[in-house]
Amino acid sequence: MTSVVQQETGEKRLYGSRCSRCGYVSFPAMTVCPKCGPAYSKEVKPIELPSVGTVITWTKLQVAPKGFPSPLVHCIVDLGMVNIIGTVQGTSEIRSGEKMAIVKDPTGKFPFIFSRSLMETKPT
Amino acid sequence: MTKFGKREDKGLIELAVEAGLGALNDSGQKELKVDAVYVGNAASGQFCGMENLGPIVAEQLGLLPCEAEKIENTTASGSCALKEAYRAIAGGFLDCALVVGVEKMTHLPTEDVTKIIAAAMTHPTGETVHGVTMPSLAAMFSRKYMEKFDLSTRHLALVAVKNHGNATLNPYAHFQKKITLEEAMSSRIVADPIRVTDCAPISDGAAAVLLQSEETAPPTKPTVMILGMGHSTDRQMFYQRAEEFEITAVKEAGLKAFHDSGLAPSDIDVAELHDAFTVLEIVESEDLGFFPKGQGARALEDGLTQITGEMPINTSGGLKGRGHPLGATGVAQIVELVWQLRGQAGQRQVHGARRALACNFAGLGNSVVATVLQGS
Repeated sequence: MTSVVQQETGEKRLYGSRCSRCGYVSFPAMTVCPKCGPAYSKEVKPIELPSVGTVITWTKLQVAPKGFPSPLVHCIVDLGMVNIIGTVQGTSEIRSGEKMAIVKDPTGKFPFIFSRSLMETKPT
Repeated sequence: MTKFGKREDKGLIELAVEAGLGALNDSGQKELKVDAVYVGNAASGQFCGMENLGPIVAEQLGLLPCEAEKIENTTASGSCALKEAYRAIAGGFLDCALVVGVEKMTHLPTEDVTKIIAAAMTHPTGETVHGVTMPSLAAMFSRKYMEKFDLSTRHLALVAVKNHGNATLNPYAHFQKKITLEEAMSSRIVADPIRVTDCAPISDGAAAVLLQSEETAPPTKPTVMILGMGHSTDRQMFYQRAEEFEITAVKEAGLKAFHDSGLAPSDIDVAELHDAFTVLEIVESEDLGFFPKGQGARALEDGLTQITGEMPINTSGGLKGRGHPLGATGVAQIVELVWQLRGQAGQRQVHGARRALACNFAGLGNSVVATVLQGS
């Protein structure tokens, strides 16, 4: 299981993995903890990731690779326990430090997308 | 090595053979027995629909029944091929190996090339599925780094201006035209804050070097010794690495290469660094220990990395100016440094260069090879 969608809000919950020995969280989920190594793979369990995070850095890619729409806004979001990458709806400029929610992509193109709109309707 | 650039005149194998023959002829040994051919190549299957490059190139060069294989580690394929040859010879398994790096890419549309490179170098389920490309990762890395160390886009442009300038002194380079700071700073945006002049071009080309054991190398030619090689690997997704503002694998590979060679960064007279994106040259110049952390841009601005500076970087033009045929790059760096250490670099010769370092890597530094060389 990598994700679950909340039908009412469009919010999407992602699942990563957490090492119960050292607490390290991986996304995408890993079989082995990158810190503790293969000897402690049994300690690695699934974990639901927070649905909201903070933008660390971003860019607007003018020419996306074949099969993706251009331009494409990418940002790296700090979820507190792990940093993940994704795209943002629309093509407006964003700011480092801005809050982003993880939501379902209505087009089905991406595994998930980041959205500000959920942030506007939902208190953080 | 071959001229880098858009080589419509030659196919993948022809380029590899041209470079390989060049290295064999350069050695000047008529009765040379080559024990192995290692071909560094990133993605011939996807770019050219062709695999099995080791045996094909060895056969075309008339070197059978030697060992032959292709070595792939994305943009570090060239230096990884060199490492295999170095280890095999240093370990006493072989006496002589030919290392060829080759890539042919320019025949495909840019969006296809970008997709192939992204598939080869981004995390398949964490990044590739989001349309992440190398320019988008480099842009996000650049933005973060620039905010932390107060770098401007002007600093990035200075790398491009320097390396384009050096390339005009290198007849093998892809670009043969200087660019001005204004041109660089107003060029097309690829992924903000990165402009087209901040990215290495898509190029065709091949480079080759011949490695021999110290015992069997003829004393007829000024030789260059490999004193040490380091190879280190870090997490694929750069924003999940332990250190935010360094490329740790560059540091680790450098430390290993310096340790093995018994040298320090201050002993190096000339370096070829992996400037696939301009910011990377600055970061590597710090993480390899040539300049303190956060001081790389200042050193660049002060002219220390120019051919005539204290620590010349990318005299060949680097990936930015010489061009970046992925699998050929790591070997082309070594070729440039061999010319520098033999005093054969023409107008871009670093006066009295005796020790050199090459840093070649995969992706945004997830797998890094550093090599320390010494002239005779």
